[in-house]
Amino acid sequence: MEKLKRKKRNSIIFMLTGLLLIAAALVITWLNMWEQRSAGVYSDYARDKVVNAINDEREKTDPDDEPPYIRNPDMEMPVVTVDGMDYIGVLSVPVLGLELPILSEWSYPNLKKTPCRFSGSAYLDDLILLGHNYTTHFGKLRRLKQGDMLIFTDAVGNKFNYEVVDQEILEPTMIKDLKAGDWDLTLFTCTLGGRTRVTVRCDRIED
Amino acid sequence: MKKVITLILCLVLVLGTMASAFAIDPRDTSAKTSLTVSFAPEDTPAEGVEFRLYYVANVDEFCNMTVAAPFSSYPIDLSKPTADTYRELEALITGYIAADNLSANYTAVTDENGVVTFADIPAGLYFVAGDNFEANRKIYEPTGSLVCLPNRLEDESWQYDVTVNPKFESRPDSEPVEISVLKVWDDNNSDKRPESVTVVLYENGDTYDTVTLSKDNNWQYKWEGLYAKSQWSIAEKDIPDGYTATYESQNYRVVITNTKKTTPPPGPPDIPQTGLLWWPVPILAGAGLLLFIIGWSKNMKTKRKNGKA
Repeated sequence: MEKLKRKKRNSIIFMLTGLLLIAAALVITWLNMWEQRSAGVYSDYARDKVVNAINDEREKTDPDDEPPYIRNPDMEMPVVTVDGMDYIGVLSVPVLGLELPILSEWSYPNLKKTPCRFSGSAYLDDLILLGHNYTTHFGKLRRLKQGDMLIFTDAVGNKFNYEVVDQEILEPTMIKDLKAGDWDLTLFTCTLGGRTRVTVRCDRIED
Repeated sequence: MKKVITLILCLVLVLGTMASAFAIDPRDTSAKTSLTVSFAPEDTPAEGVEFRLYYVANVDEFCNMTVAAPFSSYPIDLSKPTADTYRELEALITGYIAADNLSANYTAVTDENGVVTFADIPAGLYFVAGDNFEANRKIYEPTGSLVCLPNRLEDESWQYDVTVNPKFESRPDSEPVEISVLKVWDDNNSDKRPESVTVVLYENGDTYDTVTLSKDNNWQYKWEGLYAKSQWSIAEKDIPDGYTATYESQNYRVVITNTKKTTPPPGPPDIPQTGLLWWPVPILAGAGLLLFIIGWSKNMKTKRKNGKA
């Protein structure tokens, strides 16, 4: 009788531990979904403000004037400041339904808000952008195929059109490979497991 | 043996010919040099225009140049004198003269033919600058130019009395002038880059306006509605420590590049982590489910045994 009672107690401990682990998985899922949603809400909010600021900047410039970056590609990329944060422009990926503001400098707290510039400049054709793998940010990058179009609009309204030409998976240690190659635009984010990086390579195309 | 001697003789002959072809006759250091400026834009002799000469570099008898004071304190490189480098240097020197209010070595005014001669001046590299000239309802603005005295002609001979026709830019005398300035950094994104720089706009050599360029105005500024008849120039004040400034100017679009030799700051050793913490979810869920099933089946077994007992 005592043995049966012990067996019953053990089985209850097993079931409770199992339920606890399932609850932990659910909590992590909920936290991730919440973080993903918050990031999407923030980047949508920032995008609207950045787009408005870009339109204001565009109105200030004479459309007949040659943009200064053409003669001086070494110049700093201009920024628009929204809520104290500097943005270099907006990236549109029509095929994924994305339009995201891009912060000028990356940091882990910045990445929780919106994608950022990792290095380079659109004027020098060596821009590298990174974003979290939230579905509202760069989470769908792996769906991009050769020939898909991307548009980057800088902070004063100059448009740069790109075409996806390659996609590769890089290990976290392959930072030299990330910067190697003559790619005009590179986007990267973590794979779902977080162990490797989906890297999309693009070439600039004329209007 | 004969063949070897012939070969050596041929070689000596060829080398001798080459040496004489490349030899430079030294200039006559005792000869006097003069510079005549003839300014007649669109065939209109510019009378009463002041031209100024700035002595930029010493020239030795073989045409080698050494930058002279006060220009020797600026990053002026005369080791590769080509048309392109001269054009860049002309913009650079215009900026330095404005920024530091440098005095001319010689000043004179053109006659009724638009001509002025600076006679008996020492050999050297000169920067020639002139005032604006108004005619035909236009403003003709001479662009500063570098002239070497004496001048080496294409036939390798020396010209001791040199005449120049200054290049110029023209604009209607009633249209206000627009000037833009852009700051470019060449410092590998140094973290010691200053937050801002100060740029001064000069009207006929006098300070007209001072602006601060920073990230807030995207390192650029534009002046509009400036008086057409004035001569406008731009220079950076208080160049940050360790940096040198170079100027480029075209149609009143001025680019000031601040350069500093630095090594790029080290980036992250690995590609940054840009993923959500998803991997524990299937592990926790799977392990939890497994434990629950084990516990449940044990419980069922116990219940069955209990029922039998």
